Amino acid sequence: MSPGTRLRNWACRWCSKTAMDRLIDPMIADLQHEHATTSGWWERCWILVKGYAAFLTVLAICVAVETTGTLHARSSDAAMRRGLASACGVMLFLTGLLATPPLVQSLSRGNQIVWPLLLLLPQALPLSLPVSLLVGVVYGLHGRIPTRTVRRTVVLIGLVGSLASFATITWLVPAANQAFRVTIAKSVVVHGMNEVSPSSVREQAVADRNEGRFDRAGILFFAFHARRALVGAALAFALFGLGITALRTSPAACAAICLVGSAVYVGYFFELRNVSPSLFSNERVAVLLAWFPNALMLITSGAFLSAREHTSLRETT
Amino acid sequence: MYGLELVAASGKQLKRGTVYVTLGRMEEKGYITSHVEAAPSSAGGLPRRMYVATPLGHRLLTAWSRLARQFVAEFAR
Repeated sequence: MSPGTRLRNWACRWCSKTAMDRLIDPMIADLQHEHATTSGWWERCWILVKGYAAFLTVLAICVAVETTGTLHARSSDAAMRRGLASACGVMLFLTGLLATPPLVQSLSRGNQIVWPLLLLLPQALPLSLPVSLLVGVVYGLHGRIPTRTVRRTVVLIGLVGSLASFATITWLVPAANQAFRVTIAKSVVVHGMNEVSPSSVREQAVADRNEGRFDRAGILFFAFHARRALVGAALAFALFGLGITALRTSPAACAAICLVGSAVYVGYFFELRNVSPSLFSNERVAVLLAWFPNALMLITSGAFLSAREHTSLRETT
Repeated sequence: MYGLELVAASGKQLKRGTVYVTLGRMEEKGYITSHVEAAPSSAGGLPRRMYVATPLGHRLLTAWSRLARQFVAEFAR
């Protein structure tokens, strides 16, 4: 049996295939070759001693590297759990906060709490989801380098969030809103703008514009595109969170940026209520103004990420 | 060159316990490539792994050597 064969078999239990191919096997192959090509009993013994010592060193490094890899994977899991827990917490809080005023109104009219609360959840979710994603990404990834894998994961989470928002806004919100109104009024109520599907809103807007009712058409066009923009908000907020993480600032600064970003986003839509509705009868203007905050968030996130890359490059060179 | 040849050529600056780890990392970064010998050497045992520098590795070595010379000259002042 060539020297090192037993050691190799033993190392197989501890090291991955890559480590075996790259570290253990080349070392043992060189040891076997050196041992076979050396003459003299003492010299061969000395080669074995040096070879076995080298083997122990390589094995120690292998085990250390693979343990670190496991720890890294565990820390990724911990970051994911941390992010998920904080996102769920924020979502519960915000959803509750948004649902409270109409719920109080419902209770004051002698309704039960459970059914109206369930009906209010769909309209609160598309608003609370982007903010909770932002907080989850920032809190979960704080102090971590936004590697390509991390970025891909965040994009995927954002896309899933957007998809969930789309389904909620398109199908759940109109039905739930109408059911809530019927529960409150305790009689059949005509569907309002928020109780019909987005496509119906747009159809009505086009009809109003063609009939010269520009103010109403503008309101409906903006309502339609704002709902679409709200679908994209989940992705925009998640990427904004990634950008904040890339800045690698203190937790307080991260929280402040999150707060300011969210406030600017919400404040923007409140401010638009003061704009003349006829302006939005031009659909392009409605699209532009509805999607502007999302675009701004994406641009800011890109700027944060590229600033981080420039800083890393400067540190490396 | 093989791992042990590198150790011998380095004048004991490289250690046989760490040279394979260093080579593995250099390969990950694209500075060298390696291939296993087609058949076990005449002496028997496992096939040995041969390491060759890539063009990137050569360029890096040249740049590093130039930089090191500049530093040595600066510190010698």
